[in-house]
Amino acid sequence: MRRIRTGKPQATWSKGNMKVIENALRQGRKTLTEHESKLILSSYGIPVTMEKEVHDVKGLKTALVEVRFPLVIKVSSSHVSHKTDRGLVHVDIRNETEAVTAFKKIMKEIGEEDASVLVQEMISGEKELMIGLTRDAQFGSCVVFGLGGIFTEILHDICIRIAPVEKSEALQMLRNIKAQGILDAFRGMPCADLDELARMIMTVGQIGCEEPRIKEIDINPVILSAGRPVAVDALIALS
Amino acid sequence: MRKGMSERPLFAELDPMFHPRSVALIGASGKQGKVVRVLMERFLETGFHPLYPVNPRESEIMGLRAYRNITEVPGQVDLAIILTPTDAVLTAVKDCVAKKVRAIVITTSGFGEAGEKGREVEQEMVRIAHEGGVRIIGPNCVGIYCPSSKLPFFQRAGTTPGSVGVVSQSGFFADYLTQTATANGIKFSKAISCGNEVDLNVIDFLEYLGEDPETELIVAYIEGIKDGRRFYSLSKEISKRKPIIVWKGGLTETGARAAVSHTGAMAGSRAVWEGALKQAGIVAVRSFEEVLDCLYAFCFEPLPRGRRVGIISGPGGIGVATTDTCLDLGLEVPHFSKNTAARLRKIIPPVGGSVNNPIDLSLASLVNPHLHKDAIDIVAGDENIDMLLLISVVGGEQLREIVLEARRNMEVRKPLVITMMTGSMQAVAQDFPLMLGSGASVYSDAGRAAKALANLWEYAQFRSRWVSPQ
Repeated sequence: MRRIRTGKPQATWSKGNMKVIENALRQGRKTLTEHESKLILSSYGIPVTMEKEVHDVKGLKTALVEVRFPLVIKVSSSHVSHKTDRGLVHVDIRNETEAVTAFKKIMKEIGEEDASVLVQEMISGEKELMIGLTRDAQFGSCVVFGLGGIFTEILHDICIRIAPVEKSEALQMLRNIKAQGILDAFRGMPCADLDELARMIMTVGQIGCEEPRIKEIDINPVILSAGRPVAVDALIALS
Repeated sequence: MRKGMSERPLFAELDPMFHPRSVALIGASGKQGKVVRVLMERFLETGFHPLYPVNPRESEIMGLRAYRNITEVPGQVDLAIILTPTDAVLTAVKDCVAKKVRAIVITTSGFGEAGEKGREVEQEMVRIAHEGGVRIIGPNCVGIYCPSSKLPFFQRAGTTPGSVGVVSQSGFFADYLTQTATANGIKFSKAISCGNEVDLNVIDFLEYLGEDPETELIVAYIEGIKDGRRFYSLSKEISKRKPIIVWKGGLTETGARAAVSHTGAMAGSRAVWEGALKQAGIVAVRSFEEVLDCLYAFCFEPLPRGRRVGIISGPGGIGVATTDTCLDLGLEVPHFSKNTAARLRKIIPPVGGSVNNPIDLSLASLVNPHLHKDAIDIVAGDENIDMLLLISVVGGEQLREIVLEARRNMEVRKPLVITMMTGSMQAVAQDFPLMLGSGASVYSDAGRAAKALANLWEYAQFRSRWVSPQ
């Protein structure tokens, strides 16, 4: 998958997206895998991690040619929860030997024949944010922005707006969380690309308005890598 | 979105309710101690005419000819207000439809709020009314208040029409607000208590007030709504033209919802509501007191062009602490221009005072009350200042004159809010109607005055995004 950096929200709902969703629904799934979720987000121009989905060691080695070290190897299946707690996420993999070891560990832990594993570029950056879509019983599609990673649950520092979200409203959301200072430059880290973040917020709202089969989106974390936001983990839940 | 909103059919349908040519009070009574007598008294006070009391057991009520049934009333009845006991309401609705009234207000309670049986009766009354093309307000409400057409509430609200429109899901809120704010110089265009909303609901009346040329500012008390999208889109459109002050009740009541992802789990109704209110440009308040505080500022003051506050304080300490409050609220308390500082230096004693922002007028302001006015004149002319906050150690007629003259002197009107720290609490309280009645925004605490400015500024920002500068 190519990382799209400056893409505008795409106007049309691509056939590829249609297939991803229909495929999941046919299998009776309520959620898309991380990789599938990112395929959809990426088609809308949301910057996501460079990653490959693999099923065996051979595929893993091919992926290592394209995804550069250091990288992350983690389980991809949508129904696996508590990934980190179960040792299904291996970060900072620096060579092929480490990659193969991590891959085998994951396969052993989940013990599934058809399991898939993600080989993903490791995004460095200490500032983690989250962007999400939720459906409110009264207001319909709402976009959520907040502090990401483990702080999402601990601090509840979030801001919600009704979709569609206009540019000025998205920019206001960024400044509406208590931790808004995280977006500014400090300790040698550059300030966040506010326009790109606003665009991501608007795009998530747009998806909510256009695709009723998508119930919720959770992009967490969005990591600021040298100021540029990248969707590092994502989950799309279907209606 | 309600279809055909732009064609204003709802306004055309609802407006006649507020301008009825005749009113029938069904279940009227002149007996002392009866709630229904109170409304009769109010109608007699406002002098609405013609008024038809309806009561099967009376031939005359409080000097007016009474009718056994509304169908016996000669001539057209535009508005019927049903005040009967619960079990007589359905029959009264049928009679109203037979009489071809234009609208019905049902104040009686004991319906949907009382249980399933009440809900069934409600559905039946709506069915009957709609078959006859009649709209219902209520039940379980205090109805509609419209001073320009002499329609009263139960409590003594003002009889002079103004520009504040109220819609409320709490009957008491609408009744009490119009009564108490009237005593403090606020005048209303209309107020609606929508009760159980079996037919017309709070969003319908919000739309009506949004279109109403007599209403320039809207206050709403809301607990629950049926269509969040319509509320949001409508409020956002109205806010571009007139401010809406909303006190939302029941914010902590989080509905149970299945959440697959973390996002879903967090997006409790409170956060969504807060987001929606802000996004729609609504001035969200948290108490009855704040509703009044906002009303004064929005009714009496212009919108500020920026967030910079000039604080003029008799007492030094209160000025310092109020500066903190302003900053916490997202306002600024900047340095004055050199010219302002130089002019202030000429009037403020060098010992004990301060010409910086916040200004400390020092004890001299007690013996020289005109210092207040001179300082306002100077600060109001400073281009670095968008709003003024005065903490006064003089009150009464003296302060009123100072404020009114200072305001007349302003080349560009800027918001000026006032806190009186004079004498006992009781003495200050007596000065409130005097000041507010003259259109001066006074507050019993500088923190509340600062919050009023912050609310003005918050709305001014929303408004400026949609209205291009002149």
